[in-house]
Amino acid sequence: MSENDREEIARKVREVLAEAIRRPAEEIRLEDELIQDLGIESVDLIALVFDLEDTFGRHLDDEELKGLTTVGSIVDLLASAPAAGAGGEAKGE
Amino acid sequence: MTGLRPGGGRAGRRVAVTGVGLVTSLGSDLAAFWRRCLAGEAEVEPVPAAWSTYGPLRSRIWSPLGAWERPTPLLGRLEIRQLDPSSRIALLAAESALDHAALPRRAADPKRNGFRLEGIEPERAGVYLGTGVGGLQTCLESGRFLAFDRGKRRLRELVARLQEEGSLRVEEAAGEIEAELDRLPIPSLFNPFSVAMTMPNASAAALSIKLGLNGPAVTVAAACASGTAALGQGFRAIREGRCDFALAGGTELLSDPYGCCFRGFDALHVLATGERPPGEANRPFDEGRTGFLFGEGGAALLVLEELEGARRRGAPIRAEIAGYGETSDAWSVMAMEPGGRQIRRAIEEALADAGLDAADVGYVNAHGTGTPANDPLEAGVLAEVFPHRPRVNSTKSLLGHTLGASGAIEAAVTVLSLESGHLHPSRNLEKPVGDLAYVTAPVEASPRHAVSQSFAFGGQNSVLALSQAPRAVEG
Repeated sequence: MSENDREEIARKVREVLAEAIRRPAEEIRLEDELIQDLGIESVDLIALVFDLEDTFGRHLDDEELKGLTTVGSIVDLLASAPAAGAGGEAKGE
Repeated sequence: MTGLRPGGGRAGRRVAVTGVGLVTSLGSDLAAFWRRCLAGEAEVEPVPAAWSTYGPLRSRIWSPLGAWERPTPLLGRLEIRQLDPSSRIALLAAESALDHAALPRRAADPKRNGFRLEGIEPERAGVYLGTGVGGLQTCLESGRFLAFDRGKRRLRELVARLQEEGSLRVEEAAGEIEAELDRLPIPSLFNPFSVAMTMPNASAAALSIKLGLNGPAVTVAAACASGTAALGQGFRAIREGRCDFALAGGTELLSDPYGCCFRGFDALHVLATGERPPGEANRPFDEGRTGFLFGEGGAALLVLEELEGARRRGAPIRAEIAGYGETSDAWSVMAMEPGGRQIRRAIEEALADAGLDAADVGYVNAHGTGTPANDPLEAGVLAEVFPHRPRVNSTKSLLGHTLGASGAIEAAVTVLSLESGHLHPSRNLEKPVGDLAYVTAPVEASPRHAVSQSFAFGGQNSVLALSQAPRAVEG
């Protein structure tokens, strides 16, 4: 994973979050807490994970989701290799 | 009873229709929709070719919705993930209806993207929404995911291993497996919102949550009569004083990649068949009818308001719902009761409720499905109840049948007819069933009162009596 790939993932994650919470992408910082700073409620957190899985074509298993607290942690997770048994790439219609 | 004012039957409170919003196969723009109805247009196409690969079909045509989704401030990115398409259609129709009723919305809860309607008391405002199948698409999708996801991934792995061997026979086998896999369209993920998106009350809930309406949020499931029955319930709630405002109508989406909903009706031999060109196969009330045109779906929402309150806020009064009648055949899940006694009773109940005589009715928007059995029965009842021969048409001759949405769309068409003084033609009506005053070409007409009626699988009969917008002096 190159630095460029990581930047691209960060850009896409910001874009998804910006649309989700109706705020400009530039205002969303990597250190922002999803719940405390961005005000994402628990049900919307499930929708966000569902959206990210679909957008990035990758299943995220419960173990991987445990560490998701900040915007940066989402980027780190998506930039990392899929965990064993996480289902890998999502393929569907 | 001629001479009684509409709505004077049982109670003093009257119910105005102040806005109409639609999503249909003839589009979502109300003015363009009405122009196309008056021109007798229809969108009819062959069903997707993939549907026939799962088994033979008798009917080969449908009326697709086309690209209905549009951006709306009502729905954010994550909200779209949590609503079945049938609920999103309902929200779009509601947005159009509120604009048509000149009812501005203001953001009331930016964090939750919640809105309030200007000048409407939330606790006196309800939602009455009909649907035949609720969030069926989400339910089918979630089932497909669970049944096929793992097997599909394993088959893909097998294909990869076979290809590594490199022999021709193996490649042929791989090609066949691939072809089989292509016949398994499934979602890429299990939907964590499958419960909340499938439940039939999801659409009514979405409207009430989104617009901050704290009165009753009622879902009416009465198959083909759902939309009509929901409007009837909303009308009664306002007239009886339980609400002053209601968003009422119906929503439905019946498409899926396998054509499962379509096949369900096809298996019952109720869909339009035959060798005619697609645009001519749907023929309600014509001797050459073979069944109904399957509609992919749609929605219609009407803004209903207590008449005096609507007048006080300067709302456009487009028509009045004056009465409602409903009965049940108690006969068969699918077949209409021979003789149509309960259909007749539902019409008479609606008229009595409105304080009208049958002779006051100048226009009937018929159920008019185009099935061999139903049309003559409905025509017979109309001839008996309305011997003075009011004009009759079938909106399903244009749009096909959209189950829970169709009654609401037809009530909306009835409002547009009363308001504009024009009636749309019944398409493909060349050799009529019975001696009714069918509208076969667009016509100028100013009926003061009209009836819109729907009869459901299950035997529920729902009939609305509607009237031209009352003049201010009457009130």
